[in-house]
Amino acid sequence: MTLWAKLFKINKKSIDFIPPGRWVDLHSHILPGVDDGAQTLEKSLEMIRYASETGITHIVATPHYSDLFPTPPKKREAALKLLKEAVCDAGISIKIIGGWEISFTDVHIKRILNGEDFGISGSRNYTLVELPNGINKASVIEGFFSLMIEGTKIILAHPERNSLIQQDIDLIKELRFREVKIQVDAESIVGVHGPTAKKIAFELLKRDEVDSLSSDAHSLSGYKNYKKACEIVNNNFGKEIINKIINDVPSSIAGIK
Amino acid sequence: MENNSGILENNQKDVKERDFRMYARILLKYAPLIIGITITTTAIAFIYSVMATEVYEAKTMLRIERGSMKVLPGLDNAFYSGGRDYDFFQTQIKLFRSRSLIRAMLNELTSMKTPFSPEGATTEEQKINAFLGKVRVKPVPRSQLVHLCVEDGSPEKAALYANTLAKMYIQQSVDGKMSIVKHYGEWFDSQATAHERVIREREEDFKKFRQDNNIVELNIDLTASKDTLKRLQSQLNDLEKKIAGNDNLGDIKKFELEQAKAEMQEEIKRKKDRIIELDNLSAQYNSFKKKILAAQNYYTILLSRAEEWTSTKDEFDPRNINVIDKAKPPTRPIKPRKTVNVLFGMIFGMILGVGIAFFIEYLDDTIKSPTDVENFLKVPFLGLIPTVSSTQDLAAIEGIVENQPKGTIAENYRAIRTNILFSSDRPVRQLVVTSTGPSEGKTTTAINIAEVMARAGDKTLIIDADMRRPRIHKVITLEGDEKGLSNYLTGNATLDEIIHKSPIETLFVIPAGPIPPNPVEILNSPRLKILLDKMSERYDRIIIDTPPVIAVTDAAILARMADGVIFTVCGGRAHRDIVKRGINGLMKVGGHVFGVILNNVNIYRASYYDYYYYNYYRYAYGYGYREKKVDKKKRKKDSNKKNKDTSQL
Repeated sequence: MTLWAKLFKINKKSIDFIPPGRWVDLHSHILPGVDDGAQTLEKSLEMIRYASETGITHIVATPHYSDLFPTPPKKREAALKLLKEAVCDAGISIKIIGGWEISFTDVHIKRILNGEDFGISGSRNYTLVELPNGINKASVIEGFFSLMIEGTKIILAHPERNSLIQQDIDLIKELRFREVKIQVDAESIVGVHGPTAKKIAFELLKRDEVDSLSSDAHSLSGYKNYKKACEIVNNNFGKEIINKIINDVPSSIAGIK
Repeated sequence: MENNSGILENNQKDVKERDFRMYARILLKYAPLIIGITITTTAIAFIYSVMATEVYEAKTMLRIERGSMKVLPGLDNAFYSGGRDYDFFQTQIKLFRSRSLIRAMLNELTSMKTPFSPEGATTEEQKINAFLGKVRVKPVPRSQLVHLCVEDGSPEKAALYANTLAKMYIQQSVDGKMSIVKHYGEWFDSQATAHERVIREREEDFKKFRQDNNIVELNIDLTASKDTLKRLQSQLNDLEKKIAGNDNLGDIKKFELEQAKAEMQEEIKRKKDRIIELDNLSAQYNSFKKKILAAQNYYTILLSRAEEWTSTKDEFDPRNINVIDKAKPPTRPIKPRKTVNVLFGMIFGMILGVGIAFFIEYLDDTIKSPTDVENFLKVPFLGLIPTVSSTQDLAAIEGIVENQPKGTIAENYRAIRTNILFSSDRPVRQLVVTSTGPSEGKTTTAINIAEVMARAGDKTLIIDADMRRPRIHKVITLEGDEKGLSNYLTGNATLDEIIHKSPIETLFVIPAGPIPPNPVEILNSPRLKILLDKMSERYDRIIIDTPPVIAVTDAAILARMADGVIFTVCGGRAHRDIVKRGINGLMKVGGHVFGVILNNVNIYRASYYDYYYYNYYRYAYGYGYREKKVDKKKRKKDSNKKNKDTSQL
């Protein structure tokens, strides 16, 4: 964004962002002590409290399942249980849903194909998949196909941060044509992930190719940025779009009625 | 897709953006070169400016008026040919550069004992030419002012030349006019003399005419004749009366009278003739007289004008050209113009540098980016390995996955693994890793791919089939003695003897063994096929490191037997055509090429595509840039430590 545009934006009267009655965050690293997200239960609760105050009603806890963070499923179950109870005890009215963020590598894909469930619980087999660095288009198409033919539905996590998508944004259109859902990170909108990610995120919003705007929060600042991003999207793209990407589509993905 | 045109438009926009980025990349890549050339040319320009002989310019300001000569009305045109002011002014300016003026000026300088003698000019003409090169005349627009500028190495001389030239110019102009003035004086004199002569001649003619015709003065003669006639006639009348009144006169007397009468009549007749004659002569006489008078009149006028001329010519001032400002020795040289020269040097250097950069880029046909792989080699791009920071030595790179299983390079190798396994429909059990030339990173790639595959849980075997420069046994620490492939192929070892365990549980190694004198013959042994078949039964993945394809056929033999080939290309070093030839060669013998791994890509200085990678690295994993930097520093420290450790060992 140019300086002029920035100045112009300041002068422009912003439209108040009113959180919808239902607000589903499909991507968060909120589970304590499993990956590079919240490290302690206190940190998790702090994040959840802030999220609740912001107006978020559902959080899908999606710990990494990757080479860097091979979270064991049992560990996740324990953390999930712990957090759910803590939230209940604290009297916060947020619903925590179990999920995963699967790294798209042959090892992890094979595990899904072997019948392990990494989907969002409650959804009809929707799985959050992130593309690792250096992947090529052919393997994305091939790998996604092998997953989908087995009945796994794919939510593509933060494509705007991936080098492959950044150099070939039209790939998103092709993937959406194959029923892949697109999840954009709030922090990309704010600019935390650099100018290119921000540019691509805005372009995807402009093309109306975003299905979910989620926090991908690793800490409290993640939720602060989530709120900021929603305000930015609300200002630039309007109420309908924001409602669609934080309420309508994420709700139907997560199977929330 | 439903909206093809939209995609097309986007593509075109993309292409433009890519072009722009490509140019930006080239400029960035060759920035040191461009800056170097710019600095060099700037320095040259500066040194030239400092070393070059200084040239000074002296300036004198002249005012050229279109003065007039009041002496003789209507004589102005004689001095100033051409009517319009502009023409006049231009003429005057051109006169500054006339050779005659310069010649006069050079003579003047010689007489002033400051002769103008430039280098290499011996003849007068050469000197004039040399001087003409120094003179510039700059009229001040919309005024009668002219700047006369003269350049010279010495400020004093420049001023002297400028002033002398102005002086000579004015002098020549005055001389010119004075000569005209003098000419008029002489003209008057000669005219007067001529006319005096004419008058004299005409008077002579008149005199002769009068003598010839016996005329003293026509009117007087005529009157006298007429009077005489009258008197004669009255005398005749008297005589006749006398004769008539005196009848009684004697015959003698009468005869005498009659005789007198006849004489008288005769006399009258003569007088009458004379009067007629004089009348006839009067026209001629008057004509003579008028001619003399006219000549006399003109002579009088000439004399009076000449008188007038002599009395006023001293008051005539021909100086219509004045020096307003005399030239002073300039304090600062006009040449060399340091700022201009340095600026020019800089701009020229920049243009030259950019030109050279683009030319080198144009000549450079090495494969540098994933785009090059897809555009020129037309095989799948399997991934890239960025250049590792220079502080890390080769050993560190080769154990990259082992050393840093969570680093970005390990991440790249895992992506390559995924790409290899997913982007082909063929079975991926036996993989030949090769390259076109030596030292492109085959062994490193082979080891790391084997390692990521082993770590993914596949039972992996790596075979060092490079029996020319085997290196795997040096990189991977092996247990037991080093019997290897050559031992088995020559029948000197069993399979179990040559398979070695590695530090990684699922990774097994067959080293090259002793280097044989004839690797091709050994590889052509039927035992190779048996080996591969048996190994395929035992292991999930078999990675085969081979010699480069361009020199020897070892890789081709193996490629024909294996499921496929992975080509390692060293970014910025392997030439398109050579890599292409290598790939085509393998395809010809029936090898399948899975794709290309681009090695040694400098992500901080690579093409547009890698620009994204660059961004990716910067912003990867959402921890922000600063933490990443800290990470890098830490890693550097770590690696330094490690290096120290190894050196101590």
